[in-house]
Amino acid sequence: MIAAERRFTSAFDTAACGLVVCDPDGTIQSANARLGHWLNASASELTGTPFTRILAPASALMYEMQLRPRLALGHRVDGAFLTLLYRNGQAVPTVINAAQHDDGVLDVALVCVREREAYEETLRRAHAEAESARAALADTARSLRESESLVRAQFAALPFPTFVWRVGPDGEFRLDRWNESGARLAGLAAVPAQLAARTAFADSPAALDAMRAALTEHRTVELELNAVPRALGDAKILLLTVGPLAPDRVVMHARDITAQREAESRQQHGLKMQALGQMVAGAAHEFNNLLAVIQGNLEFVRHDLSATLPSHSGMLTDLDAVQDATLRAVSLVRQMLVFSGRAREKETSAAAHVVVQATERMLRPMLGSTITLEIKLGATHDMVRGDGDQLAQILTNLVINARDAVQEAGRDGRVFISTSNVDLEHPLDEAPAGEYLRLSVGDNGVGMPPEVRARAFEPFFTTKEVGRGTGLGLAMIYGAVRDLGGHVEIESEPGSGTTITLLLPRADN
Amino acid sequence: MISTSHVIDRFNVKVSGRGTRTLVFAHGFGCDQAMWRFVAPAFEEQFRVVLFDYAGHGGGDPDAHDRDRHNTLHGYADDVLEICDAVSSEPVTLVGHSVSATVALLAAARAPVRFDRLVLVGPSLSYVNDPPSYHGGFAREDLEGLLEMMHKNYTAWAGALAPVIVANADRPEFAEELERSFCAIDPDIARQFAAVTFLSDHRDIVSQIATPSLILQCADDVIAPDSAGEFLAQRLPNNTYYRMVATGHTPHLTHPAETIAVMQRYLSRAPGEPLRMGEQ
Repeated sequence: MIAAERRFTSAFDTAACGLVVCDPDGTIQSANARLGHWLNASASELTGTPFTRILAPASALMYEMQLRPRLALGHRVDGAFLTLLYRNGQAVPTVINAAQHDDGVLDVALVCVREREAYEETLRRAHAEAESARAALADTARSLRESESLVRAQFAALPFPTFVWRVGPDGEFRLDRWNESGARLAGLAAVPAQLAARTAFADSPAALDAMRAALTEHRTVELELNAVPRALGDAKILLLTVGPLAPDRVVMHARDITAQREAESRQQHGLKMQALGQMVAGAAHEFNNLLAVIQGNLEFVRHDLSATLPSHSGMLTDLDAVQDATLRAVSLVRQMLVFSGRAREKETSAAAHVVVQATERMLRPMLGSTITLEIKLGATHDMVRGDGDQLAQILTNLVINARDAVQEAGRDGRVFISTSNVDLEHPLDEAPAGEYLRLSVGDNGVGMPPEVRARAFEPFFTTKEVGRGTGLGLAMIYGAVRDLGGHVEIESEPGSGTTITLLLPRADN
Repeated sequence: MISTSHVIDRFNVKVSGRGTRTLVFAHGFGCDQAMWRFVAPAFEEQFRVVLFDYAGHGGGDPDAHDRDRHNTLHGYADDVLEICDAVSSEPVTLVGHSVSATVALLAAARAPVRFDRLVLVGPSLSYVNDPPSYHGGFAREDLEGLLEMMHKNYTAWAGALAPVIVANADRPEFAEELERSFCAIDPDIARQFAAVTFLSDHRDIVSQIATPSLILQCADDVIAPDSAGEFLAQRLPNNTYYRMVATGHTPHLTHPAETIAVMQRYLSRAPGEPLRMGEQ
């Protein structure tokens, strides 16, 4: 072998790829050592074997049908995928390049791509993993979106007013979001939200302190906010619960406890009146007993003295005065008993309009010429529970109080009496639901400041100078009406007048 | 009704040669009418020579491929019948390679009067073994592996079958054709055609054929083994069986001279007359 040929043979055998030369029939003329190594056969063993025989069946088909025709027609095959069959049946994936010479001799170069296949498999797996990660991410994003909208819906549907405040770098709290209930409470729909909420809460030093404390001390702060400004319309009592929402927000729940507080105070008032009633009743009974003894013995004294003394004796005149005072005391005690609810007599009824008209004749002269009395009897049913005389007394008391208030105001005034029928759907304090006659007595007099109004029904509470009033008038009215199962209310504004309204249970149903 | 000109366009039909008899060449799976390049010209002196491409193959219109129609070889047989009707009103001689040998038999069964003779190059009515009576050459899983491998070659190794021209000074006539795509096949159509080709079994067609036929069986053909050719030789009426010296599955490409000689001898004799090639 000449040197050049030897070098060629050496290069042929040591090439990094498998090399094959086939005759026009497709029979292997020579194969290099690399190919033999792949197939666990010596190069000489491969000589004489049809090329298709070292291919896996599918690859043999592929070669015969697609590659060989191309080669026969003068084309190269460049980078086709074929699988060789190792002797033990193991597959050797290869990429082949091939070209046929004009004489039909075929050169084939094969590159084993087992690593490339593994690499491709890795790529495919990575791609699949990336794809499933992407899908999982999309799922997560979707469920996040869902839970976010759920949270939003929950927030919006919270039954109590809720506000989220965010503190700015300047330390000011600005309204971040709020729910519908909060908007209703704070009137956010009506005026710019920020302004309304600021006026409602953030302008209150107590609320601001609570928000700061919640944020800096990471705790929930509760406070009761009174006299909330006019953005809320009517004054309200709010119970604020302020909790931290890290890092820069606080959530504020506001409960309107106005009604609750009012009910509590009414209940307290009721209890107080009850206690007073018991005390008054106890005292009245004692006095009643003592007065009975005094009255009885006064009669005996008068009887004895009238037998021995002339009828114009000064002593008898004195005795009359004592007897008059005693009678007044008895009357007072009786009013005390009425207030305390212990004077209730038999079940009777009265026609309120008849009582008003009868009383009017007596009252007009008392009012004088500077005060007009307006009477408007709007009720269609005027039969009420109670005693007519007692009702007349109540009416008289109220009109006299009204007159005094007008006179105190020092002007020409008016006193009015009106009636109407009402149907209570819900109980009002101790008055059960049902049908009532509303009897109002009003004036345009001095009115009462709140602290007076609050105590007006207490016995012996009076604003009149000593000696002019007993302080039992309104207490008696309160006791009597409540005793009938009715209700008394005072509306009063200092400077503009007072109206006292009685709800008297109707007797005709 | 599809017009004749449509057929010509759809199947890229090329007619050449002279003569009263018509010779229609049907290419096999994986290529196009270029397969007949070394053989067809030899018949132009005596025959009208008709070449065509199936839909989606070579110059065949991919839009003419219908997934339902072409889901069995009967659809391809219908294509061949349309082409034959378009090129000749007389009976033609149909030359079918590989799967087109089966297509030719199906067409002849459907319309026997359209054909005077059939030439079946490397025929196999079923590639799948059906032991013990039939040896098609492949286990079903081999063929499924082939489909997978083709898929791989068409997709992952897309470059593999793209035309790469070998500079060949001796055959300048190739240049023009090679510059357009060569044996370019629409991958989706090829995948379906491969499945239809390799997984179908048309052994039952043999009893329905009366048309005289020539069976060309190659030596050492891994695709259509001797057993496949012999199955036909034993059952097909009026057949002439010839076992070639040529090896492989494409004698018309690798051994054109032998292919031409056998065909000419067969076509020049009366049907059924022995070839006696060995006497030549």
